[in-house]
Amino acid sequence: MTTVRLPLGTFIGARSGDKGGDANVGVWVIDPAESAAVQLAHGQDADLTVTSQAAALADARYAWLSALLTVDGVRDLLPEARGLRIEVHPLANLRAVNIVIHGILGRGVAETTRVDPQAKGLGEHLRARIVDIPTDLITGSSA
Amino acid sequence: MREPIRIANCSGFFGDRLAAAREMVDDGPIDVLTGDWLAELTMLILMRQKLKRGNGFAGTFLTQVEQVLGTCSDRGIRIVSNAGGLDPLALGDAVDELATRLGIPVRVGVVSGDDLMPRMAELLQSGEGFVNLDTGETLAEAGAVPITANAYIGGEPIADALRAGADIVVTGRVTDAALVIGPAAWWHGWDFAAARSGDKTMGDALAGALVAGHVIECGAQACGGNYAFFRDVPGLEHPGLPIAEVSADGSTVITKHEGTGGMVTVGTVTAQLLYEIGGPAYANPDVTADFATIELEQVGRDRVRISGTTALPAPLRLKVAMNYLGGFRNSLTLVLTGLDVEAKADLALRTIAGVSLEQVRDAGADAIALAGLSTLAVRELAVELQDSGILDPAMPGDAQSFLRITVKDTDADRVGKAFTAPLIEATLSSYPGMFPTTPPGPASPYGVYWPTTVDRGNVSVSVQVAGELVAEGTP
Repeated sequence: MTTVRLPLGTFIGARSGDKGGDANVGVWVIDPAESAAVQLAHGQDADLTVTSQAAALADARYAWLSALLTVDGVRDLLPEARGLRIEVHPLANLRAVNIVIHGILGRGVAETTRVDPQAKGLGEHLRARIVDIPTDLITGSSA
Repeated sequence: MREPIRIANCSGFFGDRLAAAREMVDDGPIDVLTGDWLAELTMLILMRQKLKRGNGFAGTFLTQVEQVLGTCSDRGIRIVSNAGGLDPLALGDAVDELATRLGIPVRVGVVSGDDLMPRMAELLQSGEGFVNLDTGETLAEAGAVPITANAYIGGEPIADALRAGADIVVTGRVTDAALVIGPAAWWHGWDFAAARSGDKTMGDALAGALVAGHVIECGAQACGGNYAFFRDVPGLEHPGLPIAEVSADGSTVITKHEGTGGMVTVGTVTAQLLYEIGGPAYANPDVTADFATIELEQVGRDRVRISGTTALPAPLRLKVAMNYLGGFRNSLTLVLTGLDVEAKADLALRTIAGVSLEQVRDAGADAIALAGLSTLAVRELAVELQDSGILDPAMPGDAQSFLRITVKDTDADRVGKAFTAPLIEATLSSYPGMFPTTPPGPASPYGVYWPTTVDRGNVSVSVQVAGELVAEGTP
């Protein structure tokens, strides 16, 4: 299997936020109907029908993402989280994974000394990390 | 079976777009205007406001009501908001006065009882330890004295107020999603008691509304705001805010008014579904939604259908958000330009705080241990070095690294001039090119968030409409 080094954010979205002293990062694979939905939003005509090929590519990307984002995988990608308790919750129905990092914000937004006190940028940080991505998962993206 | 109820959001936090209420009312058809004003930090902000100005509600809501009340009254649009914060009854009175002044007759509903502070001594005596959900400590063990304590209330009392004819409902600390659950339950005649006794259809409907509420509670975040693929989003300079069209079975279409900026796609809805959640079980006082059962489908331009959500039992205890005053804090950030970033940081730290960069790294996130090693007489010392890491920097921004030093103590003086003066005094005698990003400032008080729970039986919620008590009891 050939791979290519690219940012995780190439086909992975993320949004992060705070819950008390914990941060969560929700990570998802782009939906197969997304590009048509975006075209519609721009006032262009588009067909929302998802081909089996597009669905299979999204599923393959999700399988790869789930294998990448284990607790240890998260610690590698976000060294800031080393030593902290991490939960990883797969949500296959949304082709998404939710990561909870406990205690990264001390005792909440008012108390923490972190530059980003509500972990607003944590998801974008994760998307900027460069990883080995199977070439098949990239080339499929232009299909 | 009634047609879906169109519930619009016009606020994701205290300070969100002031014009949004008017936009949501003027730009297209809606049945209910809602908004969330209360983030975890907001209760602390409102407490400071209450101490200064005497009221603890979000005043911007009144400005917005003034802008839309006439139109809402003409078109029968109900308004539901948690802008009451620490003072829902006072906000109810203020809305009443405003309506009278405008000559628009309205029935104002108020949901109160979330505030546990008036009964704190009694609750502690009755055995509530208010164990911290993160640390397992009780309040007493931490020696913490809360200044705010609010139980999260669900959508049922909001539905009660609407059923009793309230045109505007203001609440204190209800869950963000309760602002959608309440109106949807009122519109469709859902039975909360049936859901509690295991009626699956009713439970699933409430769970669907909970998910819808979660999706629209953060304003434009459902419509392409704060979105990873923002480059795909049209009109993001001024995105529209979300509308949930909730059907009788709880399934929902998320959309926005035609002709507004932003977009609603499976992607923008997924991003918001995942925002600030934990595991798949998403709890609310009325019901818990199983996020592993949610199905999303793009059904048209800026229209995403959410269906399939199933209910799990509601939690036995109510979540409580407490805040106590932790002490005082101060920060200064030094700029380290060019070469030898680590050596510069090390010299600055040894000069100002009597610790080496190595000691800082060894201490990790333990700010108390680091303060113990330091010559600064403070309880906590936190240091963050951001090294630009760029070789041969062409532009000033490439050449600048930052050393941020934060101190905390129960004594404001120790983190005031006692902290900043030695740092400023060192600027001609330390590393080359030393300067801070901002002038030294005074110590500021900070709050500590204390997430905990309370027995439902220890909370009593009151619903008043037009000054009359219409419902009261354990949530």
